[in-house]
Amino acid sequence: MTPITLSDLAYTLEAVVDGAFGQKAVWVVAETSDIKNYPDRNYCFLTLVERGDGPMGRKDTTAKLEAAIWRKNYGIIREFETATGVAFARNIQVLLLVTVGFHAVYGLRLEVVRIDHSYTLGNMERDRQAILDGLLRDHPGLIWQQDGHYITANQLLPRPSVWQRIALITAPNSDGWRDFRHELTNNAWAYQFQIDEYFTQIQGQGAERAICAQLAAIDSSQVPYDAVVIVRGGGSQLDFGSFDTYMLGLAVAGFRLPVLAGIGHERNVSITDLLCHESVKTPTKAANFLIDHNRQFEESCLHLRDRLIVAARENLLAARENLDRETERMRYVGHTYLKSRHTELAEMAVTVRHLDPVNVLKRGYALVLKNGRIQTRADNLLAGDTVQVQFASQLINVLVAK
Amino acid sequence: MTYQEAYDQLTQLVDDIETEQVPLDELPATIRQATELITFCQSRLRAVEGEYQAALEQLPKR
Repeated sequence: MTPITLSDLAYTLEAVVDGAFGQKAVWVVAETSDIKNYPDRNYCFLTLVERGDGPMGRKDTTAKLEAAIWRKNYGIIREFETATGVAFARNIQVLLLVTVGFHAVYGLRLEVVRIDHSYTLGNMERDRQAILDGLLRDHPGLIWQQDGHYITANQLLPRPSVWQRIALITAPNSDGWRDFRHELTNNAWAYQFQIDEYFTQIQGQGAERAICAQLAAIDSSQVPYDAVVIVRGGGSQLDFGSFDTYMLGLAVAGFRLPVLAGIGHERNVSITDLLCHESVKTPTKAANFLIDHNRQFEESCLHLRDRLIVAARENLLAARENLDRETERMRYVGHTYLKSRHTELAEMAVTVRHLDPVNVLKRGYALVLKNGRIQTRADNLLAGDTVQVQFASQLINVLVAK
Repeated sequence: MTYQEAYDQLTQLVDDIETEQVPLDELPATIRQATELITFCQSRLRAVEGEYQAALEQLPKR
């Protein structure tokens, strides 16, 4: 067989590929790998792989092709990141619309013209749900569902009257750290907070392990913290993977202090957000949450203060009124008592006066006396007796005829 | 004696006079005792009002 030149072979391959695909684009499911992105030059090279189940649970590569995103389609990377909240990086499951080409020098290469965001989002959601289901199944004492909501032991921890001692998990020198500190230390009410920083890697591969290590450090510190605050912010809206992990979700759900998350999600709610004590969107809002809680406590104190003033005043007024009333009553009853005695005496005097015989005689009655004794019965008198009849004005002798 | 004890005693004395349970001969002494109780209550109440005002001054302002 006559040998052919390499270029002839290449052209033949180009013709075969062109014949098979032409300008027709195909949708391909693949996993990203080895991305070389050149934002300055607006193109990106990447390797697409497919992995299958190998022996011993290993994942074996079953297909691997080189791909490129050229300048005219370069915007799809930004669109993908905005829609999914995930950095266009390695190890992401993607659905891509690609054209297939073969070049005599550069070989077989796929050109990516579109990325299906919903496919990746769906995959992420499935992964996320699988983790949540796993947590529910494995730790029913720490995480459970009620009326469609996730409830955790951390959420049920009582809140102190005021937040004062804060353990802050954040990345050193990050905007999130600065925003949180600034908001808390410059609060309008001049509340004082003790903030102990537990610096760590907060995003990217393996960040969940670093964050969990700091949670363990807080746990063993013996400092009586009121809360743990995890903040992340300022930078990219991407790379929230560590907050969607089983490891961090479990650590937060079962942590013995309330965990407050302000990890800068604008779109999604991470597993950490779902399972922590309280979740807010940004580090600034996390600081405001603490300040507002303390303000509520102060407001309730001020309200009690107002009630105290009013209640004390009313109490004293009532005591004053009661005492005045009793004083007046004492005067009145003393007076009434004496008046009653006077009345009694006066009535008695009238009765006595009526009973006096002198007064009886004045009304026309007369007394019959014999030998100086009052006679009340006629049978004691005999004819010929001399008796005295006492009138009011004079005494006369009377001879009894019968 | 507390304000409340004095006040309760005063009320009892006034009730006794009102219901004429006090013999006449004892009325002056009862009135004197009630007057002393009123004086005590008045001075105690004034003292408490003074202390209340002083405590108000100590309250944090809004």
